[in-house]
Amino acid sequence: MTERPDLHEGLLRRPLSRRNFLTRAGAAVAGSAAALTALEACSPGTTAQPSGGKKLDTLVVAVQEGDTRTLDPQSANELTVPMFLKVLYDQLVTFPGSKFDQVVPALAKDWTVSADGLTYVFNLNPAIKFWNGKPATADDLVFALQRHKNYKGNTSWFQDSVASVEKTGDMQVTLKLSVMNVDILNILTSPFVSIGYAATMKENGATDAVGADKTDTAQQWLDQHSVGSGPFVLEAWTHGSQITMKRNPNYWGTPPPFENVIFKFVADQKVQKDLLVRGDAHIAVNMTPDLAAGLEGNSQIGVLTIPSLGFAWLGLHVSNNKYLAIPKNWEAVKYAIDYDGMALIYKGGGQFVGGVIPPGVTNALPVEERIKKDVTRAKAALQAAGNPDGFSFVLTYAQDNLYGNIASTDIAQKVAADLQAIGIQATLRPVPATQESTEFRAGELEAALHYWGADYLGWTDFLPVFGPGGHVGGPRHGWQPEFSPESKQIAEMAAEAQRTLDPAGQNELCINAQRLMNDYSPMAFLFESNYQVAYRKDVIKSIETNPVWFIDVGTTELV
Amino acid sequence: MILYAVRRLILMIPLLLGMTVIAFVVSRAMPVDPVVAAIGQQAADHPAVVAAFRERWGLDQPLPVQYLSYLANLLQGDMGQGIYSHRPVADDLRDYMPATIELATMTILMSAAISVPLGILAAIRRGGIVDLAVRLVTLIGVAMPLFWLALVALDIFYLRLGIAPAPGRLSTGVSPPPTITGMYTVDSLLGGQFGTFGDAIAHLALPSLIMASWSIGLLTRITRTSMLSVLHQDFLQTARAKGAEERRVIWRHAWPNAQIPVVTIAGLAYGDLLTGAILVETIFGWPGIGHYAYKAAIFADFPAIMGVTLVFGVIYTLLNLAVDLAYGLLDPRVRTLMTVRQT
Repeated sequence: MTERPDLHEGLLRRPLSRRNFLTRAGAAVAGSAAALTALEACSPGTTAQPSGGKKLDTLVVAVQEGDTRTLDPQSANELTVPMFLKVLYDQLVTFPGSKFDQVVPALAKDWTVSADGLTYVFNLNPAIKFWNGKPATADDLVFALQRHKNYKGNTSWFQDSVASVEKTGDMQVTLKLSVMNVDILNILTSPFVSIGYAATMKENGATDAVGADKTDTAQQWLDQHSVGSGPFVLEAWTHGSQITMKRNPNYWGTPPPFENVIFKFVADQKVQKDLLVRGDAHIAVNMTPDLAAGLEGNSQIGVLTIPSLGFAWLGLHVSNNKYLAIPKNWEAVKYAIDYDGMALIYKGGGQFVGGVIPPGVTNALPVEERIKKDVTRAKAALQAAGNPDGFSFVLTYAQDNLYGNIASTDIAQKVAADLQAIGIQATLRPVPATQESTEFRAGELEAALHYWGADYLGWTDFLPVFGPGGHVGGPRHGWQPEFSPESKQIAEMAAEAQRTLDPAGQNELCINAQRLMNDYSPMAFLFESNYQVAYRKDVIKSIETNPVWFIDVGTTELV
Repeated sequence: MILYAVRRLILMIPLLLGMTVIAFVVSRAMPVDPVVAAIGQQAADHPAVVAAFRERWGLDQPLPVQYLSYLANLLQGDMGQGIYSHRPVADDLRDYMPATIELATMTILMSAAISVPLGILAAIRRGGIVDLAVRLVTLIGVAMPLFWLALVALDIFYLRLGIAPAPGRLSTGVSPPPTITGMYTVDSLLGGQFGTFGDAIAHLALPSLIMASWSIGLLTRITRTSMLSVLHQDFLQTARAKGAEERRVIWRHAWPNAQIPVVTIAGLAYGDLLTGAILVETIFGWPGIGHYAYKAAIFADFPAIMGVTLVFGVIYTLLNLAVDLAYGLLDPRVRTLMTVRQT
């Protein structure tokens, strides 16, 4: 029999000892690290520049790309896009600094309102110039507003109450409403109603004519070119990567203290924080409560908390479950929830709400009047409803969703646990977000956890919408004014408030409607989410914030 | 072999056609209304806005008409416009695919360069400490979740040690090179921008390494197994008897006979890498096809879903063909068989 040589022998003259193996492995790791460092040193890239008197050339903002689809202001309707549009374009009016309770001039230097609240005459500011040095005129304003309406984009409904927009002078525009809209000025602050240089837009396929939804072809061009009068000009949008902007050389206002701004798309919030800590970003927009809390004590980093005006709520459909058709059971649900305990989940990422209009918005119910957990009252309500031992329903929620920066799953489990404690069995049904939205909007669900993001900063985006027969109150919850005398009363108060120009009268109606809704509606408003933005204190002195556009880099001041 | 390749390419057409039918039917069967995904709650209650949206995206047509329209456009090279991105799907794929090709190619090259020698070494030193160490390390690479590895690696090498660059394809302030292939490494070399090339490579290194942890584990283990099945064959004994050095026996005789399964697995692994690793892309800020496919799915972007499905189909089909052709190149017996079948 032929013997086979042992394969382990003969290949290597010297066996590989443990010491040799570890030495070689360590050398390999060190070599790789050195190579990486060398490559990084070769890189011509820049990192965030420190302060200490040095001029900052480029502001870097780490932000989630999110649902950014287009930079065409009349076509857009997403959460993150207003931040970009705000610094590329101006609007007719705006909010001052970080306040949003009062509208101030922007493109319009002043305006008058007719006694019946149906006619607004705006006089334009002659100092406003577009990026190309051309002055902003009535033609540009009329074009923008008409295109916004006729393009039938996602926010064209903002102009539901607008009957006509007319040029009544080279620098004057008259807006006529078909029905009174007490929030029309608030709506006009929206970056989705931005004003661009009409001539260039037309050259590139934009049209404001009826049928623009079929004939307008400018959107793709506007995704790579801006035509506004804002402090910055769009340089490039690299999809999935970043948006870069350069300072507008013809800006009519105070120019920003830096030449460029880069909005760097970073999906993971922890990575955003890392970029900030390393100095590769100056602002990180999407901090979670835990990340924000972890930055406390860091002397170089500050955290701003911005109310989003978006809130999470538990909605009960009055027709899809026999128990949820009984108002006393709504009361039981609302008073069983531990809102204070829920605050431990969202921490700085949320705050209490008094009623359907979030704090900070005109006519909001004071937070002190909010619903608080009251198990005794909840059980008494169950008794009065005729089901003292409780009942059950299916609670659907979007499994992959965030309420602001709070995981929907955490809130759903909290709600279910609270209800369980008094005998109400909420069977959780997590589904993909788009499926949940589809079913919710079709009014197919027994109950849902949902999130409302403000479309504009006005109370009419809340009370009438959630009231009986409103866009949300009606089809999503099956709650109509004829459901009961109380429902009718709420609907009437909301409608009357929309017809009341007098602030005091408006306020009284809104407050009373919200009090009644707290007692008598198939909705439990859980919390308003906050955005938490972190920034380098050694670079940035101040940032103006707003619930719609988060931060305004155009007015950011440096140390 | 050429005829074989041509025949396989022709057969790809009905395959892709079938994929479009399946992708269309499945995506329409999802309980999701793209209107809901695309427009706000209040906009969704405005019939004019909804009607304009449906007409803009062809969603007001009957399903068969939608499919036939899509097919007719596809035959002219038009993959439609993404509902989410508002751009031609072809443009989106052209933007996102090169980033993934770059990452996947770097990963597979890194994996092959590491795993083949490691696997061979482990096979040769079977049962020893080297073999044990290699098997343990590769097991960890295969078992560890990539997203966790990515976060830990970024934390250590970027945040704490500062030796890895920030996530993204290039450093902030570095402009991408003029687009030729869309791969920054290739385009920067072609454009003579060596600084940009270095920056691009530096940004590729860590994400490639993380993704390679899985493919290295896979390829090393298959290399080891394949080598073990060959190392005791008689023809190696013959080679030694004829006086061949052990290194020559391993590399010239054993390895060529062991590499076929490795090539197969490498092809499959490359296909997996090319179809994107959404979590790694997310963490490293890598705008690749996984990222795009994920958004297409959650936003019910039908044209993008169809486009991605087609691209993935082409990738796997071409990779399978490449692997089959590689068999012919590597193994003369297979080459002969291909030729015989054609005649």
